[in-house]
Amino acid sequence: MTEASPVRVLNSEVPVSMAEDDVRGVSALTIAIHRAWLWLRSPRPYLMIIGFVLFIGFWYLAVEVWKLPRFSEMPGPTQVVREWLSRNPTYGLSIFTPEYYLHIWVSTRRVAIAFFLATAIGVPLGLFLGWSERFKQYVFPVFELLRPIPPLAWVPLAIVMFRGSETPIIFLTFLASFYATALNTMLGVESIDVSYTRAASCLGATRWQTFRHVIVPGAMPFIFTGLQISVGVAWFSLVAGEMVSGQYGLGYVINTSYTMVRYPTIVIGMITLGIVGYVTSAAVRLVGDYLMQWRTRELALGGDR
Amino acid sequence: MYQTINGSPSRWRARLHTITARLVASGIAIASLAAVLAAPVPANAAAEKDYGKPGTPIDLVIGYQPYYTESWSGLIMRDKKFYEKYLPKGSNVSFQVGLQGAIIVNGMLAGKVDVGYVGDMPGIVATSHPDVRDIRLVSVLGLGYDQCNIFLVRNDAPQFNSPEDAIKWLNGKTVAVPKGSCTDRFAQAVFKRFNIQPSEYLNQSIEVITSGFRAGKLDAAVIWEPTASRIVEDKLARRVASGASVDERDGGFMVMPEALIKQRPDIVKDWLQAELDAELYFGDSKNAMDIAKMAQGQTTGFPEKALWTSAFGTIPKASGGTDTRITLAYGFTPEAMELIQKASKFLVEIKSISAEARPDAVQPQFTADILKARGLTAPVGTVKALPDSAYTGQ
Amino acid sequence: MSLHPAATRDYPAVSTQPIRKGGVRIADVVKAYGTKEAGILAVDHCTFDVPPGEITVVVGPSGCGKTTLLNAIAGFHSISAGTIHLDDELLCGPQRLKAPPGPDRIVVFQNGALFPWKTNIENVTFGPIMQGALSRAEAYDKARHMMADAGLRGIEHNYPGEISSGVRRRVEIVRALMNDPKILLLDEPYRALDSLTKSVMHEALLEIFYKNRVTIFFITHDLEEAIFLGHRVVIMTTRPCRPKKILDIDIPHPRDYSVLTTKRFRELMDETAAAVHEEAIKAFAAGEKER
Repeated sequence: MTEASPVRVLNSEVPVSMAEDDVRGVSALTIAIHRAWLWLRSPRPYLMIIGFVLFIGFWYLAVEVWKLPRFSEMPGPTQVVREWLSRNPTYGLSIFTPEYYLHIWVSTRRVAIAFFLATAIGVPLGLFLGWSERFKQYVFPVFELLRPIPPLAWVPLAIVMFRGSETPIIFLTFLASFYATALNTMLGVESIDVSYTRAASCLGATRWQTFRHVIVPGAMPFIFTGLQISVGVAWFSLVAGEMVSGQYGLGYVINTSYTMVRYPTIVIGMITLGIVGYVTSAAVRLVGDYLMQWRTRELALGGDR
Repeated sequence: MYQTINGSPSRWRARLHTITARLVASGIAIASLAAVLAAPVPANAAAEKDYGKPGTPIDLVIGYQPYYTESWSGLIMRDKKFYEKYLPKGSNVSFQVGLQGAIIVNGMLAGKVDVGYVGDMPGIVATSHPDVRDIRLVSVLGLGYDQCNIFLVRNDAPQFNSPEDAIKWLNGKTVAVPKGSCTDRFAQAVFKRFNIQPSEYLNQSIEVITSGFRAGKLDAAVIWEPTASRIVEDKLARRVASGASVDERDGGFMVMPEALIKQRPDIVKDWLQAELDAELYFGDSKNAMDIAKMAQGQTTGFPEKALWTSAFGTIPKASGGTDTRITLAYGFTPEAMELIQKASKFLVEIKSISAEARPDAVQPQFTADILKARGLTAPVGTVKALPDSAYTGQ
Repeated sequence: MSLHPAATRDYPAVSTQPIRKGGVRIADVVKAYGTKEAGILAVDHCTFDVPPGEITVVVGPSGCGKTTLLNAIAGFHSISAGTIHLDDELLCGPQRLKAPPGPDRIVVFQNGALFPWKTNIENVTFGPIMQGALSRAEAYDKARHMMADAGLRGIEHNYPGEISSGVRRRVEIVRALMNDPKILLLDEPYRALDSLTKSVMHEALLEIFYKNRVTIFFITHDLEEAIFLGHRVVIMTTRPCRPKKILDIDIPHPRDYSVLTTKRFRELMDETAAAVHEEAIKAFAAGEKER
């Protein structure tokens, strides 16, 4: 039987964090607003705007004013912007034409389906590749052999293998996306510190419980990095894929504008692709931030990254 | 919540000032850029290429299409080298294969190709970008009714009583075509005339169309020779109609940049002399087998019979065949001019080009002079359909 | 004796709990890596006892093989020869070279292994819930009480990333104790903390020990920490490790930081410092790497 302990360490309330802003017990939405506010307060958005202005300025100068050697034949920003914002565009595509939004919608739909398929198949596959050494030995060599084959090389097989015209495109878009997701997921599992799995087994968790409670959440940061990459490569592959079918979509716009010699439209297609791609990537990042509150809060405490 | 964010009211104000300052700075940057972009900019022509002084040797890049029968004078030119007789000694000529006219046109607009052998649509499109490069039509390679303008349908399509019925059948079907080519113009013109709306009008390259027929995904395609003959030869699809069925011509043209014409009219004349020789050679039926062999040497994946058929084969009238496969116009005959005007008008309507072909897009004087000097008239010959027995290959 | 006179508890006061078992007997254990010819001998015929209900601290230079021993007890590594018993049960021996990990021997890791993606209370209740030993409501209830006892009230729903590393260690210890382990294995848990935090952590650990009376097997390279905490200190040689000297620390419990300045403490330091220093020099000369 112990005597009254002179130790009084455990009397005091625990200091939660050393950070300035106290985020204890605050909702996810609040954290998001807080981080957005921090971002607006920082110099970042303004530097971003200045960056774009400089880029467009250089493009303008190189093509239309200085007429630099290999730049002079490109469409300049004036031509592109005029066509893009025109009510009656020369080549039939501008923000006022309904086809423009149809193309955006068709491409986005294809990317969305391919991306979700790639995630639904790639994440579990990656998890098992990382988790089971035996499974990895069977599957990984085949995976790595097929991975470097670019979507363009799959075009003939895709046409033959899949019925209809949407499915081959979605398949081609799916491929690169799938590899990025599966590989990053596998690396995510492998990057989990062995202490966590050991702690789980110490605490009496079965292999399956460890998988569910340690491996899957532990790999999440890598998985979401993989997903952001994956949505980006899905957009790249889409352009290759849309050569196969060829009626709607931003890749179709770019390909057709080449053979129809419509240079400003090519650039409009490229810019639109960039914007939509950026938005989808940001959307994935936002979902990741929401699902991984533990990381978001850590970062919110430390200020913006 | 926000009271936990550090700051007394005065610190708040200081922060707002910074934000305002930054907003103003960015606003100024954007506004000045917009003003610069909105200001009218004079049309800028690309820097002209220097072709050297008249009489000096020259390096020429020829963009030609062995995979387009109507323009085979280029293919013959490459093999027989008629130009060596005429060009200044020391000149270098290199030939680049284009799978589609549009690719050659893009090459010319980029200043990488000097002479182009292209179909009617790419040819007219080439002349419609004077702000990038001024390109002119200098000769007619050939005119026809079933060189570009060929409708193919899948083998299990119903048997049609007439070509018109076949064309009407395309309503609500999946049709593929390489956009920007002579077939694109033809297909859209015919659809408009007959009031037909395909369920899908797909832009596909010739390989994708071939696989599409093989996989049973396409109902129809509009494709030029010799790919049409190959697809039919491989029993992947069958012919049902052509330009002959609907009285729509097709044509191939030679294009050159205005810079070359202005700086080196001597070269233009030399090349066109060689072109005349090539067309005369093409028009002589005795050369059919040799030409087929040349074609086989300059293409891959085509059986020799298909190549021969594309230029010299007899195709049933019911499927759109003609007795004269190609009319070698060489000069700008009234028929050629009519085709150019009609096509150009149509292309403006479908917004492929911004304005109709300028009157000076066509430069007939070189061919006219050469014909006069040689005592010939346009057309200089025809490529006739030969019976199957005339094919003596394997 | 209650530390929190105002706190109400449903559990009986700790001092009435019987001392748990958890004695470990390490007998002639050898651990070799690699082949006979070209291998590394990490542990060489190591024999000592860990008495139940006491804090045994193992001190030695880095890389000497003490973590290998801890891992062998926990069940993460196998041994090459010898036996390890927990109470009277064989953990590992010639028939079974690797023990299965389990909640009777829980490890608190060097760099902390609180799951960052779970809140503190989710971490703490992880063990009982996974094993099905307690229902969710019961587990949460017990967790709240144990965390309050350890002075961790108020941070239940925070994530480990939001609290300081010292506090994280304490949460980890509570997570372990939730499972009523026989022995707690601590692998240099305070190594990464600064010395000020460390001294507070030591006192906190002792407080927890006094309440729970679980056997503690503690590894460190800090001699002062060892003597302050331990009932018994085992000084290991450099690799391959075996006990060089075993000391029973006769400073009475309960101890607090004032113990550090007592004469007896300094005497014990003097006794052992020479031995430890000797091994440290050997380790340095042999170029021991930090594991």
